[in-house]
Amino acid sequence: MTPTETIAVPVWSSISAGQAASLRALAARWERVVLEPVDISFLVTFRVALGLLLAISMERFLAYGWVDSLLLEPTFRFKYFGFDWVEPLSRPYMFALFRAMVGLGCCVAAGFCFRASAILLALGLSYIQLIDVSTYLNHYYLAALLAWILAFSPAHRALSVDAWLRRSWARASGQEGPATVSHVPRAFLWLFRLQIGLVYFCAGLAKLQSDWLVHAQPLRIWLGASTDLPLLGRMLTWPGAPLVMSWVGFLFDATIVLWLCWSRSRLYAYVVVVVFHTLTRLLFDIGMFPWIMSACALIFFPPDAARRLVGRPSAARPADSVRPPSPAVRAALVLGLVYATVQVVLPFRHLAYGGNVLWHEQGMRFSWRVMVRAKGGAVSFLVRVPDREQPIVADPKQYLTAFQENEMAGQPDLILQMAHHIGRMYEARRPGPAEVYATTQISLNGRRPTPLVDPGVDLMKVRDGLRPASWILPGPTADPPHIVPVL
Amino acid sequence: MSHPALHSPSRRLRTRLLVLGSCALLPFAACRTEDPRPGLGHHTGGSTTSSSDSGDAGAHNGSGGVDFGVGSGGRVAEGGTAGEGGSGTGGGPSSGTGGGDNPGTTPGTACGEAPVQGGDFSKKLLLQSAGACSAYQACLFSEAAFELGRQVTLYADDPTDERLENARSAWIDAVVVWSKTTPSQFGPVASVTSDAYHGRGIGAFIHAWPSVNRCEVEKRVISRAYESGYDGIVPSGRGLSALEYLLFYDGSDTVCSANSSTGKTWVELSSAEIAQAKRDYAKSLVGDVYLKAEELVSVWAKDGENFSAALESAEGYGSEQEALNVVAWSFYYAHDYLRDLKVGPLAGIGTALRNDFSPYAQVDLESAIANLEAFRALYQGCGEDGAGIGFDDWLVAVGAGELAEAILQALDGIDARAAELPPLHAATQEEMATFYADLKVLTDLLKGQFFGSGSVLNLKLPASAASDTD
Repeated sequence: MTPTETIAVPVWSSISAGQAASLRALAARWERVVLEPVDISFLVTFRVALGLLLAISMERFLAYGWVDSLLLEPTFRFKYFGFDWVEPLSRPYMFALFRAMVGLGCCVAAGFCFRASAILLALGLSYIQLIDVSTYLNHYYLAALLAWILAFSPAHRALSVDAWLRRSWARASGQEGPATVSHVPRAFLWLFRLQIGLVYFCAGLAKLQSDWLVHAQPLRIWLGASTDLPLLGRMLTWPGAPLVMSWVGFLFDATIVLWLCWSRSRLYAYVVVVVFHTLTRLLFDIGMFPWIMSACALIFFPPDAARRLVGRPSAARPADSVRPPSPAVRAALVLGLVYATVQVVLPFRHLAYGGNVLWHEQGMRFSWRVMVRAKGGAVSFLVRVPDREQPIVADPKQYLTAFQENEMAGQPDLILQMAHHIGRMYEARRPGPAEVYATTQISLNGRRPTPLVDPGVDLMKVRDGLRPASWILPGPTADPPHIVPVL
Repeated sequence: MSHPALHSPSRRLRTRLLVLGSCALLPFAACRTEDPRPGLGHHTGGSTTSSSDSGDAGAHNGSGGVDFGVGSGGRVAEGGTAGEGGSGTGGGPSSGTGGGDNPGTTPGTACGEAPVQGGDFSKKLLLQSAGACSAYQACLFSEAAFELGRQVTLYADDPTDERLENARSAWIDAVVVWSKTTPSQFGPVASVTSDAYHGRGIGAFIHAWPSVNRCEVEKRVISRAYESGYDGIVPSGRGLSALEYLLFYDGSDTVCSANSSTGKTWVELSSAEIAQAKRDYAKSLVGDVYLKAEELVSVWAKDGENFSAALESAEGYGSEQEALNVVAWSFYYAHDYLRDLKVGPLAGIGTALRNDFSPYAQVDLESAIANLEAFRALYQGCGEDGAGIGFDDWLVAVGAGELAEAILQALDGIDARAAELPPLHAATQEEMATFYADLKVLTDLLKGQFFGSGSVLNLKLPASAASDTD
């Protein structure tokens, strides 16, 4: 290589020329590691558990009337950026969708028409969530992510209807049946572990703040609702109980992945996981989340644990496991890496905004800040129109269900969407631009309500985006009140 | 809508056995087996615990199947309260004072004093207090309904101006008591929407507002369908709202379509015939209202279904907290009904169309004040000046005394404003807007820290808004 040629090449490339080889070697080594075959039984277990739990989740939606109350009854729906076009289906189709998803969950569990079932289930879950932001829950989001990962995994290659059918058809046609798949690339194991580990770890980090660790809020408030539980209820009224439980919650979330990863503590850690989630189910209305997480935590056991549990011998590794990956596999690996990177970065994006994320909520969603805030309040809007001197009081109740109104109160971007909708409604009725101002009194973790949104800002002039929102007022600095659970 | 269980023969039998077996334990005099009120002990309507009974049997006899102690020609029956100008002591709800054309109703005398729950706060005591207060209010309303029945019967039998005034006065008394009863939207008075566990919707049959419909009333005036019972009569065609129209509206026109059968028949009748038909319906209707009131009393009473005990132990609610949720949702009456339906339209705020609670008697303000009294009774306690255990005590017990005080101050502010207001129909839009703003202070506090995600008591939003959390 001549000096001239060196100048023509980008600087970073020339600098790293020596390192490129080692990078390539590192990548090759990483490829080998993530493609190393591991027993498929972990994936089969996960498929069955997740499929069934999602089927039950969809059935709950139907049984509790949430299809109507959360998705169909609202006349206005809060939208995710870029997904304004997502609308609910008509009522019969919506119910048909949920019933279909119950069936799809069962199909996934059974491994029947797995690829199509799993993709449709993941699509359905995503669609339901995109209908209205106010229905966002961390565990719905988690369920959708896991369903997508599962949909692109070879989870149906063993102990599934699909595998059985393939073998049966092959036998019926006199051909040699497809070889039984006993191993899958380690990448799937790691991806699931990363996803579930992130939920726990980020939920733990979210508790690393004074409201939770010093003032035991909002646990003090929430525990008060369970004082009638047999045995446990009276214990909750012990003065130190909320603080002890706050610390237990923090330590559990922040460290449980470590204990689950360490072989010597794994079994005990899993018992703790089950006890912990059973307790949270008893104490809080968190639906299927405890069961989903209890099932998901099984992913930290060795991949062949299920096989060993039922006394099946481990199959030998496939002989072609050391072949170099095909371009398609490489592309899948890159996709997996990008996904993992996004999932690792996304929960920490609130750091770019400063302030208290529980207050301004910029970076709140998709960050696994599970059960860390009791936030609510009253929001009303003042509309100024050109032909009227006095502002018009617009009550969001006119446009929202009580559930939506409650969810909106604590989330500034939803307040902004509501303001825009109200403004557009008035502009459609009267000539000239409307100005919309929000009056908010929001309480965080039991504190006295304070304004969340600057009442002097015309929200019609504000566009939502990723930049720090100057129209959101700073959060309260006072300590939360010392609420005591009582009998 | 009545609860299916009410129609069960075993339930009726059990209720009657309970009535026989527990007289001595009755909390309220009005709930005795041999009710001292005139005619109650021998009314012909059958068991008062069954809503479907109301007006069925004996619909042609007395007032909707109830003998209000008023003999033929408008005389008060023997053994009842004093007849016209009499001075007997019947021991009924009116305590024997007055009677006849001069009722002299003294609410509360037969129901005893308002129950005041003492002792240190506990959630169980709060449920007990809320239940006792509702039972007491039901008893008061039963008294008022009885007096209304008596006065309307007297008027219907001999329609003099004086008797009309007495009937109107009794209606106003009844509707004010009702306005203090209905905001407690849990248990038998509540719809299943408000109380999915124990709601029976009896309240809608007593006063249908906001689902009132004058034409529905006029249909019954003309068709006399009530003579064969009230089972097929929708709430908007009966109850206190229908009685208001029948007693207070002097016109002889109809709002039913001219092409409808009611409209066609109506125009064929003379004013006198229409007036007589209205009086006939009113006379029957008071019996239905009274039976519904008695049904309420019976559900609450210890010798009846003893719903008070069920509420206290959160029976059927799943948990104590859920029972408290349902009871607390009664506070939403101030938001949904008082602020948004009664005041909002008059203040020009909101989208609700004007739908006066009392379009003919025009006692909207009195009703609103009674609604606020009901709020205070549940919030502070049922006794005088808020004595007893209420939700404010819960707030103080958990350490949210500041919020308890803020709600109380907001309530005081509303009361003070209401005391200065002219009748709502005569108030200016500005006056109503100020009243609305006062109410909003209270309802904002409720939405901010009392209910929902920010609740310091972890009280959920009304049932229709339930969902998972995380």
